[in-house]
Amino acid sequence: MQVGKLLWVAALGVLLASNAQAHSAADIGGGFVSGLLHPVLGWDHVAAMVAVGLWGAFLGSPALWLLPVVFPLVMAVGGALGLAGVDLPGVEIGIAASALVLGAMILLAARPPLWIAGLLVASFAIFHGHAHGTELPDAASPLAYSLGFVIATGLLHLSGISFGLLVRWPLGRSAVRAAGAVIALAGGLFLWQAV
Amino acid sequence: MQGVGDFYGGILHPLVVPAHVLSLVMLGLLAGQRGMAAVRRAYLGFLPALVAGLALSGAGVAEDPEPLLLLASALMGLLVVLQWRLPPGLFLLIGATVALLLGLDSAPEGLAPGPYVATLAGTALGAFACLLLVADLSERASAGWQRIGLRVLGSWGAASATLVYAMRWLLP
Repeated sequence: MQVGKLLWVAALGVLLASNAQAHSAADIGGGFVSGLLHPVLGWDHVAAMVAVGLWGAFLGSPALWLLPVVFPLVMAVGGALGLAGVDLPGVEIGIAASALVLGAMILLAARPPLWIAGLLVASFAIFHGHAHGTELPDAASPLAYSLGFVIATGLLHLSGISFGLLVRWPLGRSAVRAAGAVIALAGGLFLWQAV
Repeated sequence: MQGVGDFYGGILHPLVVPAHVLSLVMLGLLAGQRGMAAVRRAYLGFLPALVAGLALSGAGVAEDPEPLLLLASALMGLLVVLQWRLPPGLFLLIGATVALLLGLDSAPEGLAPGPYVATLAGTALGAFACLLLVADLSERASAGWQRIGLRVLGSWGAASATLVYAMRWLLP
């Protein structure tokens, strides 16, 4: 049997399983779906995540994959700060500002050195992680929840990268910059609501 | 695991416990990324340690090994991201550590000796099959974008494990 088919059989087995010895499958499934939906249901998160992918694609390799790799790692640090009860001032403002600033970077076709782009994305990831981290203890299965929201975050980055790859063509470049303008505008609106 | 029998329930157990499946995936990614020599050594360390861990799981040797398993997953995910060229010999130790912790955390509850052994045998098979698949797929990932994909998956695993480890460590 091919490796791919074996993987499908394993995945089917996981889906059909009723409940584990000391772990409830309902909790795990519920936690995962809840985590998966959490970043997707908040427009401020969606705008910023897509912007990270768009900007990465705009900057090209290695930023294309480095920014989406840096983001979840630093987001975990932000989440740990939230769990530790470290009070981060202006979390909602930071999240809104991330959409505004990253959208503006795309609109202006900004090409800073890689370390500055990484630092900027990482600093915003702290705010996003802090917001997620404070909600983690309430999840039915915290690990399934965190896996869900990290994967959803990564998929939002991927959607930004996919659209951002249009920069190879002149018309696509304009479309990507226009998307940056929309994200910046949305970020401005979120910021106005947060302040 | 209800409805599928003890042995098959044991096979599925490492796949439905998030901390277990995450550690297996991170180990598979790390070993596969480093190449076949590392994969073989990881298997060599993994199998005997898994048997030992499962055998000792009912003896109450470790109170709650899950946080250590999360820490191991976070470190392995980070190593995948960094793509460090670890010496292949080290994978013997890494594989054995993950397997021992996973085995110790897999004690079936309230089963008679026969089903107990069947469940443990199934768990050993399920855990090794999962590692085998992930390590094999990772080892085959030779194209540039596939190698990047492994690092992205490593970052996702490291982030998830770090968050929950921090939660277990920081909150009572």
